[in-house]
Amino acid sequence: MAYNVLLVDDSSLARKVLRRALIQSSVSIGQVYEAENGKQALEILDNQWVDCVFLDINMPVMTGIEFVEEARKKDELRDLKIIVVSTEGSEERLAYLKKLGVLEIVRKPIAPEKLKTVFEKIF
Amino acid sequence: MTDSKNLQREIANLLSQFAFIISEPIEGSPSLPEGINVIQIDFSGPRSGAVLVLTDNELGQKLLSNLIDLDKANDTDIVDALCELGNIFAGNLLTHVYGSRQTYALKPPSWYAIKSKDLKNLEEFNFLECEGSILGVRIYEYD
Repeated sequence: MAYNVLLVDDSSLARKVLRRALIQSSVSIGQVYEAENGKQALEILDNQWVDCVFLDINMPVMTGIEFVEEARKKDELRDLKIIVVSTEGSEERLAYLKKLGVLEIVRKPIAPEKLKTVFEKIF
Repeated sequence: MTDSKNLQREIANLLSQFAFIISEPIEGSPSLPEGINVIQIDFSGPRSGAVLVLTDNELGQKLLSNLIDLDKANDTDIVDALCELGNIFAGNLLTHVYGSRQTYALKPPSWYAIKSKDLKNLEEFNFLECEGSILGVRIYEYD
């Protein structure tokens, strides 16, 4: 089975680094979608089946936290697998993300090996 | 170890982890290229201010070469790479300096180019030499 993933980050470099790390993992990747902010990500999720979202926090238009809050209000996205990839270091905010059901939080700068481990763990 | 040296060491670690670039701290203010990029990330929370990053285009090109094998990047790619570097410095250095019990909101990075002769308070920056490029980072607190 190939997994569809959605990469959400306002930096095109960050998305490319993520894409490369995923392709190098042992997990079979299907379609890779990209969004520059939470709003674009929600629009993609309205139209595409996605198995897992890799999500930055600090983005214009709609932040990662706002995205998770919106997603959890929708029945079809309530159990969406979300991995946060961010520089976020606040204990309070990380605890809030966990409470919202975020599966893993990976601190930037990301080591591709760490990302592969996380991805292989959740699938 | 001084606060400045501690911060320089953290910046060097982040740069190495992010893009495998080796850097060395510089004492004082180095001579800068005529034109330089400024990346600014404003933050608010228990304190308000900005993380400022100074560097040249060559460091952006090195990031892109090391991370995604892009050897002839255009200006848009370079600015994007430098903004991501600024983002990584801002999030990590605020936690490093203020601790993880404080919560800060970061604005997305903004970029502008400036003539280095117009830069002020250079002595407040932490400078490193990064494989031929100069990198300066400052955490600036608003009054």
